Amino acid sequence: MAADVPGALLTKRGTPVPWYQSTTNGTDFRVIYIRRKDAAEAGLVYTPQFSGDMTNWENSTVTPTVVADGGEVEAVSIKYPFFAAGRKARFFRVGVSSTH
Amino acid sequence: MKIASFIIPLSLIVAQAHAAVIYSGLKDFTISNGFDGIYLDVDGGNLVGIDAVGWDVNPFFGGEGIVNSPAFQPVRTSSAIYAPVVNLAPGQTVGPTSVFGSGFNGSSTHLGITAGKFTSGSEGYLGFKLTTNANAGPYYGFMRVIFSNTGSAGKILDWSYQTSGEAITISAVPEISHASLPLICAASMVLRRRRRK
Repeated sequence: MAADVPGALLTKRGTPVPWYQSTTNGTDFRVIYIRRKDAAEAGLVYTPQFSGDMTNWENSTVTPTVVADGGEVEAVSIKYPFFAAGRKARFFRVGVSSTH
Repeated sequence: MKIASFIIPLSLIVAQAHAAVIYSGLKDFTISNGFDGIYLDVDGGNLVGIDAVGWDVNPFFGGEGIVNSPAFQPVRTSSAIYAPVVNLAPGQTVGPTSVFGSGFNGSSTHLGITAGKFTSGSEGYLGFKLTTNANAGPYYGFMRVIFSNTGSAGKILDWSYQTSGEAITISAVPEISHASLPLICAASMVLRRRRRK
């Protein structure tokens, strides 16, 4: 079930969800996902990744923007690239690793 | 007089067959304003499913983004990955000396107001090199498109390609396809019969 963040209010936790809005000179294309607000203290590192074939994954280096608060978690968005490793970036995942 | 009326259409047909140009006919495919867009099989002449066998080009977000398969290489500003696809003009030639990339590739910076860019909402021409589903080619061709980056849908209007492997000159008037030849023959015969009556 995908996350839902109408009006910057996180009403439902869930899997990442793509989002886009047309502008006068291009599409603002993003993906929204949820992360723990205490990630740094907990030693968690989130790594968003995109792929066109589910084999080759490219890490996103974009700093996420917080778009909604859900108490102990928050919804963040990053720019969704059109391409990854030469292919259309049809797949997204968030890798989570621990530094502890 | 009757002999002359027969010879002229026949010579026209022979000339068109020698040119070996395939014209798609007016397709008017709508490029939806979403990330999926449409997947076109150029030599099949129809739309196919996402990543389906035979897909050649996948414009999406109204044409703001373009992805191509290894079998379909659009003319670009350079052979670098993600180099912008070029908007060509009638009279320009697409052929072995044109600039293409290789493999799977994409373009997202081909709309704008500078030379060689597609103008959002206006017709433009995308040149291409095609290898068919039967692995024939490469063939050179051009596609008439309308791309948009303002939220409107785009269009793939029609396309032509040369099956001789030679260069092709972009023409605003579509070439006659092989599929049209039987119709031309039939029309010619009907006209001759009417004149005899």
